[in-house]
Amino acid sequence: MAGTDLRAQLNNFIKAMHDQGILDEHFEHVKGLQNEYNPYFVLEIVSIFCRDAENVIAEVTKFLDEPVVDYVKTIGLVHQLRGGSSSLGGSRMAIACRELRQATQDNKKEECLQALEKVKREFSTLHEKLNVISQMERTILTNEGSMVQCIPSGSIY
Amino acid sequence: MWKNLSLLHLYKLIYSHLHCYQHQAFEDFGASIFSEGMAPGIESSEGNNKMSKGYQYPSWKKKLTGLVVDNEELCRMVEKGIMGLCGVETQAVETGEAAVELIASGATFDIIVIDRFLPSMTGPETARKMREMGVESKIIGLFALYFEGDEEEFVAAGVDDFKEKPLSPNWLVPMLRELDN
Repeated sequence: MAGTDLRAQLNNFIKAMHDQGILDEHFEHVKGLQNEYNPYFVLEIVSIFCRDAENVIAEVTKFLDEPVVDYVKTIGLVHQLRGGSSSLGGSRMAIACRELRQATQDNKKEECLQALEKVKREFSTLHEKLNVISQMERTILTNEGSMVQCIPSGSIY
Repeated sequence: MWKNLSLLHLYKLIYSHLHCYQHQAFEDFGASIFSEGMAPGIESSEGNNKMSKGYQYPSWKKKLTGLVVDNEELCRMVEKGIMGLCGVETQAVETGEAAVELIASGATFDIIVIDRFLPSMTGPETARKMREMGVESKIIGLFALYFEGDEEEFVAAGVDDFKEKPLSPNWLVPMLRELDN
Protein backbone atom coordinates (compact mmCIF):
# COMPACT_ATOMS: atom_id res chain seq x y z
CA MET A 1 0.00 0.00 0.00
CA ALA A 2 1.11 3.54 -0.73
CA GLY A 3 1.02 4.59 2.91
CA THR A 4 3.29 1.75 4.02
CA ASP A 5 5.66 2.41 1.12
CA LEU A 6 5.97 6.07 1.99
CA ARG A 7 6.56 5.25 5.64
CA ALA A 8 9.30 2.87 4.58
CA GLN A 9 10.79 5.57 2.35
CA LEU A 10 10.73 8.01 5.27
CA ASN A 11 12.42 5.48 7.54
CA ASN A 12 15.11 4.86 4.93
CA PHE A 13 15.64 8.59 4.51
CA ILE A 14 16.02 9.05 8.26
CA LYS A 15 18.42 6.11 8.39
CA ALA A 16 20.53 7.78 5.70
CA MET A 17 20.57 10.94 7.85
CA HIS A 18 21.80 8.82 10.76
CA ASP A 19 24.52 7.32 8.60
CA GLN A 20 25.70 10.80 7.61
CA GLY A 21 25.64 11.97 11.21
CA ILE A 22 23.07 14.67 10.46
CA LEU A 23 20.58 13.10 12.86
CA ASP A 24 21.32 10.95 15.88
CA GLU A 25 19.37 8.45 17.99
CA HIS A 26 17.64 11.24 19.88
CA PHE A 27 15.59 12.01 16.77
CA GLU A 28 14.10 8.54 17.17
CA HIS A 29 13.03 9.42 20.72
CA VAL A 30 11.45 12.62 19.40
CA LYS A 31 9.64 10.63 16.71
CA GLY A 32 8.50 8.26 19.41
CA LEU A 33 6.58 11.11 21.00
CA GLN A 34 4.32 11.30 17.96
CA ASN A 35 1.19 9.20 18.12
CA GLU A 36 -2.42 9.34 17.13
CA TYR A 37 -3.23 11.70 20.02
CA ASN A 38 -0.38 13.96 18.97
CA PRO A 39 0.00 13.21 15.24
CA TYR A 40 1.72 16.43 14.30
CA PHE A 41 4.40 16.40 16.99
CA VAL A 42 7.33 15.93 14.64
CA LEU A 43 6.04 18.59 12.27
CA GLU A 44 5.58 20.97 15.17
CA ILE A 45 9.02 20.36 16.60
CA VAL A 46 10.69 20.76 13.21
CA SER A 47 8.80 23.99 12.58
CA ILE A 48 9.77 25.43 15.97
CA PHE A 49 13.38 24.38 15.54
CA CYS A 50 13.78 25.92 12.08
CA ARG A 51 12.08 29.16 13.09
CA ASP A 52 14.08 29.58 16.30
CA ALA A 53 17.41 28.51 14.82
CA GLU A 54 17.08 31.00 11.95
CA ASN A 55 16.35 33.81 14.39
CA VAL A 56 19.18 32.89 16.73
CA ILE A 57 21.72 32.54 13.91
CA ALA A 58 20.68 35.97 12.64
CA GLU A 59 21.20 37.46 16.09
CA VAL A 60 24.59 35.81 16.55
CA THR A 61 25.62 37.12 13.13
CA LYS A 62 24.56 40.60 14.18
CA PHE A 63 26.54 40.44 17.44
CA LEU A 64 29.66 39.12 15.75
CA ASP A 65 29.40 41.87 13.12
CA GLU A 66 29.70 44.56 15.80
CA PRO A 67 33.09 46.27 16.19
CA VAL A 68 33.02 45.29 19.87
CA VAL A 69 31.45 41.88 20.29
CA ASP A 70 29.17 41.25 23.24
CA TYR A 71 30.42 37.75 23.98
CA VAL A 72 28.12 37.29 26.96
CA LYS A 73 25.00 37.68 24.84
CA THR A 74 26.56 35.69 22.01
CA ILE A 75 27.32 32.80 24.35
CA GLY A 76 23.73 32.79 25.62
CA LEU A 77 22.46 32.53 22.05
CA VAL A 78 24.88 29.75 21.18
CA HIS A 79 23.67 27.79 24.20
CA GLN A 80 20.12 28.24 22.97
CA LEU A 81 21.06 27.03 19.51
CA ARG A 82 22.91 24.00 20.78
CA GLY A 83 20.07 23.14 23.17
CA GLY A 84 17.53 23.11 20.36
CA SER A 85 19.78 21.19 17.97
CA SER A 86 20.58 18.47 20.46
CA SER A 87 17.00 18.19 21.72
CA LEU A 88 15.86 17.62 18.14
CA GLY A 89 18.65 15.14 17.42
CA GLY A 90 20.56 17.35 14.99
CA SER A 91 23.94 15.89 15.81
CA ARG A 92 26.27 17.66 13.38
CA MET A 93 24.72 21.03 14.06
CA ALA A 94 25.01 20.48 17.81
CA ILE A 95 28.72 19.75 17.34
CA ALA A 96 29.16 22.91 15.25
CA CYS A 97 27.48 24.91 18.02
CA ARG A 98 29.92 23.50 20.56
CA GLU A 99 32.81 24.60 18.35
CA LEU A 100 31.33 28.08 18.12
CA ARG A 101 30.95 28.16 21.89
CA GLN A 102 34.59 27.15 22.26
CA ALA A 103 35.60 29.97 19.92
CA THR A 104 33.70 32.51 22.02
CA GLN A 105 35.57 31.27 25.09
CA ASP A 106 38.81 32.52 23.55
CA ASN A 107 37.18 35.85 22.55
CA LYS A 108 38.70 35.53 19.09
CA LYS A 109 36.38 37.13 16.59
CA GLU A 110 37.89 35.56 13.49
CA GLU A 111 37.60 32.07 14.94
CA CYS A 112 34.03 32.82 15.96
CA LEU A 113 33.16 33.95 12.46
CA GLN A 114 34.61 30.77 10.96
CA ALA A 115 32.77 28.63 13.50
CA LEU A 116 29.56 30.54 12.77
CA GLU A 117 29.92 29.79 9.06
CA LYS A 118 30.12 26.11 9.91
CA VAL A 119 26.99 26.40 12.04
CA LYS A 120 25.21 28.06 9.13
CA ARG A 121 26.29 25.29 6.74
CA GLU A 122 25.15 22.57 9.12
CA PHE A 123 21.85 24.35 9.73
CA SER A 124 21.30 24.70 6.00
CA THR A 125 21.85 20.97 5.51
CA LEU A 126 19.70 20.02 8.48
CA HIS A 127 16.94 22.41 7.46
CA GLU A 128 16.84 20.92 3.98
CA LYS A 129 16.62 17.36 5.30
CA LEU A 130 14.00 18.28 7.87
CA ASN A 131 11.91 19.86 5.13
CA VAL A 132 11.98 16.56 3.25
CA ILE A 133 11.01 14.67 6.41
CA SER A 134 8.20 17.14 7.08
CA GLN A 135 6.87 16.85 3.55
CA MET A 136 6.83 13.08 3.75
CA GLU A 137 5.18 13.17 7.18
CA ARG A 138 2.49 15.51 5.87
CA THR A 139 1.77 13.22 2.94
CA ILE A 140 1.61 10.17 5.21
CA LEU A 141 -0.73 11.94 7.62
CA THR A 142 -2.92 13.08 4.74
CA ASN A 143 -3.06 9.56 3.30
CA GLU A 144 -3.82 8.03 6.69
CA GLY A 145 -6.48 10.63 7.31
CA SER A 146 -8.21 9.91 4.01
CA MET A 147 -7.99 6.16 4.62
CA VAL A 148 -9.58 6.46 8.06
CA GLN A 149 -12.46 8.34 6.45
CA CYS A 150 -13.29 5.21 4.41
CA ILE A 151 -14.21 3.35 7.60
CA PRO A 152 -17.84 3.54 8.72
CA SER A 153 -18.05 4.94 12.23
CA GLY A 154 -18.44 2.39 15.00
CA SER A 155 -17.27 -0.46 12.84
CA ILE A 156 -14.37 -2.75 13.37
CA TYR A 157 -13.20 -4.57 10.27
CA MET B 1 -14.17 -1.31 2.33
CA TRP B 2 -11.69 -4.07 3.14
CA LYS B 3 -9.69 -3.03 0.09
CA ASN B 4 -9.36 0.47 1.50
CA LEU B 5 -7.59 -0.77 4.58
CA SER B 6 -4.04 -1.86 4.77
CA LEU B 7 -3.11 -4.60 7.20
CA LEU B 8 -1.32 -1.90 9.14
CA HIS B 9 -4.46 0.13 9.67
CA LEU B 10 -6.46 -2.96 10.48
CA TYR B 11 -4.16 -3.74 13.38
CA LYS B 12 -4.18 -0.07 14.48
CA LEU B 13 -7.99 -0.11 14.62
CA ILE B 14 -8.13 -3.32 16.59
CA TYR B 15 -5.52 -2.21 19.11
CA SER B 16 -6.88 1.31 19.47
CA HIS B 17 -10.23 -0.17 20.41
CA LEU B 18 -8.56 -2.47 22.90
CA HIS B 19 -6.40 0.47 24.18
CA CYS B 20 -3.61 -2.01 24.21
CA TYR B 21 -0.26 -1.35 22.57
CA GLN B 22 2.05 -4.11 23.68
CA HIS B 23 5.49 -4.39 22.19
CA GLN B 24 5.40 -8.16 22.50
CA ALA B 25 2.10 -8.24 20.60
CA PHE B 26 3.74 -6.24 17.84
CA GLU B 27 6.44 -8.88 17.71
CA ASP B 28 3.89 -11.69 17.61
CA PHE B 29 2.07 -10.16 14.67
CA GLY B 30 5.19 -9.28 12.82
CA ALA B 31 6.71 -6.08 14.10
CA SER B 32 8.21 -5.43 10.68
CA ILE B 33 4.88 -4.33 9.28
CA PHE B 34 4.63 -1.58 11.86
CA SER B 35 6.36 1.61 11.01
CA GLU B 36 8.58 3.59 13.30
CA GLY B 37 7.06 6.43 15.19
CA MET B 38 3.97 4.38 16.01
CA ALA B 39 4.41 4.92 19.69
CA PRO B 40 1.39 4.10 21.78
CA GLY B 41 -1.02 6.87 22.64
CA ILE B 42 0.37 9.05 25.40
CA GLU B 43 -0.69 12.17 27.09
CA SER B 44 2.32 13.85 28.49
CA SER B 45 0.46 14.77 31.63
CA GLU B 46 -0.25 11.13 32.45
CA GLY B 47 2.14 8.62 33.93
CA ASN B 48 2.17 5.00 32.86
CA ASN B 49 4.66 2.60 31.47
CA LYS B 50 5.04 3.31 27.79
CA MET B 51 7.02 2.17 24.86
CA SER B 52 8.97 3.74 22.09
CA LYS B 53 10.65 2.12 19.13
CA GLY B 54 11.93 -1.13 20.58
CA TYR B 55 12.43 0.41 24.00
CA GLN B 56 10.10 -0.92 26.66
CA TYR B 57 10.13 0.98 29.89
CA PRO B 58 9.66 -0.80 33.20
CA SER B 59 6.41 -0.57 35.11
CA TRP B 60 6.65 1.71 38.06
CA LYS B 61 5.31 0.61 41.43
CA LYS B 62 4.19 4.11 42.26
CA LYS B 63 2.98 7.11 40.31
CA LEU B 64 6.02 9.23 39.49
CA THR B 65 5.62 12.95 38.99
CA GLY B 66 7.99 15.40 37.37
CA LEU B 67 8.53 19.06 36.62
CA VAL B 68 10.47 20.51 33.71
CA VAL B 69 11.75 24.06 34.02
CA ASP B 70 13.04 25.25 30.64
CA ASN B 71 12.58 28.57 28.89
CA GLU B 72 13.12 27.17 25.38
CA GLU B 73 9.87 25.95 23.85
CA LEU B 74 11.31 23.10 21.79
CA CYS B 75 13.45 21.80 24.65
CA ARG B 76 10.54 22.07 27.06
CA MET B 77 8.20 20.13 24.73
CA VAL B 78 10.73 17.37 24.11
CA GLU B 79 11.81 17.08 27.75
CA LYS B 80 8.20 16.93 28.93
CA GLY B 81 7.43 14.36 26.27
CA ILE B 82 10.44 12.19 27.09
CA MET B 83 9.60 12.26 30.80
CA GLY B 84 6.01 11.29 29.95
CA LEU B 85 7.21 8.49 27.70
CA CYS B 86 9.27 7.21 30.62
CA GLY B 87 6.16 7.02 32.74
CA VAL B 88 6.41 10.28 34.65
CA GLU B 89 3.35 12.49 34.99
CA THR B 90 5.04 15.74 34.03
CA GLN B 91 4.30 19.42 34.13
CA ALA B 92 6.43 22.03 32.41
CA VAL B 93 7.02 25.70 33.13
CA GLU B 94 9.15 28.35 31.47
CA THR B 95 10.74 30.13 34.42
CA GLY B 96 12.26 29.53 37.81
CA GLU B 97 9.67 31.85 39.31
CA ALA B 98 6.81 29.78 37.89
CA ALA B 99 8.40 26.61 39.25
CA VAL B 100 8.79 28.09 42.72
CA GLU B 101 5.22 29.36 42.64
CA LEU B 102 3.98 25.88 41.73
CA ILE B 103 5.81 24.36 44.65
CA ALA B 104 4.65 27.11 47.00
CA SER B 105 1.08 26.25 45.99
CA GLY B 106 1.61 22.73 47.32
CA ALA B 107 2.62 20.79 44.22
CA THR B 108 5.14 18.02 44.84
CA PHE B 109 7.31 16.19 42.36
CA ASP B 110 9.54 13.14 42.45
CA ILE B 111 11.93 14.61 39.90
CA ILE B 112 12.59 18.19 38.82
CA VAL B 113 14.66 19.04 35.75
CA ILE B 114 15.96 22.60 35.59
CA ASP B 115 17.73 24.29 32.70
CA ARG B 116 20.87 26.24 33.59
CA PHE B 117 19.93 29.37 31.68
CA LEU B 118 16.55 30.71 32.71
CA PRO B 119 15.49 34.30 31.96
CA SER B 120 15.63 36.03 35.35
CA MET B 121 15.95 33.50 38.20
CA THR B 122 18.73 31.22 36.96
CA GLY B 123 18.67 27.45 37.14
CA PRO B 124 20.98 27.28 40.17
CA GLU B 125 19.01 30.05 41.91
CA THR B 126 15.81 28.11 41.28
CA ALA B 127 17.31 24.92 42.66
CA ARG B 128 18.63 26.75 45.73
CA LYS B 129 15.24 28.33 46.41
CA MET B 130 13.54 24.95 46.13
CA ARG B 131 15.91 23.41 48.66
CA GLU B 132 15.34 26.35 51.00
CA MET B 133 11.62 25.65 50.70
CA GLY B 134 12.26 22.10 51.86
CA VAL B 135 11.92 20.38 48.50
CA GLU B 136 13.44 16.93 48.74
CA SER B 137 12.78 15.90 45.14
CA LYS B 138 15.52 14.63 42.88
CA ILE B 139 16.70 17.79 41.15
CA ILE B 140 18.61 17.57 37.90
CA GLY B 141 20.51 20.49 36.43
CA LEU B 142 20.36 20.55 32.63
CA PHE B 143 22.92 22.23 30.38
CA ALA B 144 22.49 23.11 26.73
CA LEU B 145 26.28 23.07 26.55
CA TYR B 146 28.44 21.65 29.29
CA PHE B 147 32.10 22.33 29.98
CA GLU B 148 33.91 20.90 32.96
CA GLY B 149 33.39 23.07 35.99
CA ASP B 150 30.04 24.44 34.82
CA GLU B 151 28.25 22.24 37.32
CA GLU B 152 29.75 23.90 40.39
CA GLU B 153 27.04 26.49 40.78
CA PHE B 154 24.32 23.88 40.33
CA VAL B 155 25.92 21.47 42.76
CA ALA B 156 26.39 24.22 45.35
CA ALA B 157 22.68 24.98 44.95
CA GLY B 158 21.82 21.41 45.89
CA VAL B 159 21.08 19.51 42.68
CA ASP B 160 21.46 15.75 42.80
CA ASP B 161 22.87 15.36 39.32
CA PHE B 162 23.41 17.25 36.10
CA LYS B 163 23.34 16.47 32.43
CA GLU B 164 24.02 18.00 29.08
CA LYS B 165 20.98 18.04 26.77
CA PRO B 166 19.30 16.10 25.35
CA LEU B 167 17.40 14.43 28.14
CA SER B 168 17.25 10.84 26.98
CA PRO B 169 15.25 7.82 28.17
CA ASN B 170 18.49 5.82 28.47
CA TRP B 171 19.77 8.26 31.07
CA LEU B 172 16.46 8.85 32.79
CA VAL B 173 15.12 5.34 33.31
CA PRO B 174 17.82 4.08 35.75
CA MET B 175 17.25 7.21 37.84
CA LEU B 176 13.50 6.66 37.81
CA ARG B 177 14.04 3.05 38.84
CA GLU B 178 15.92 4.30 41.91
CA LEU B 179 13.10 6.70 42.71
CA ASP B 180 10.54 3.96 42.30
CA ASN B 181 12.40 1.74 44.74
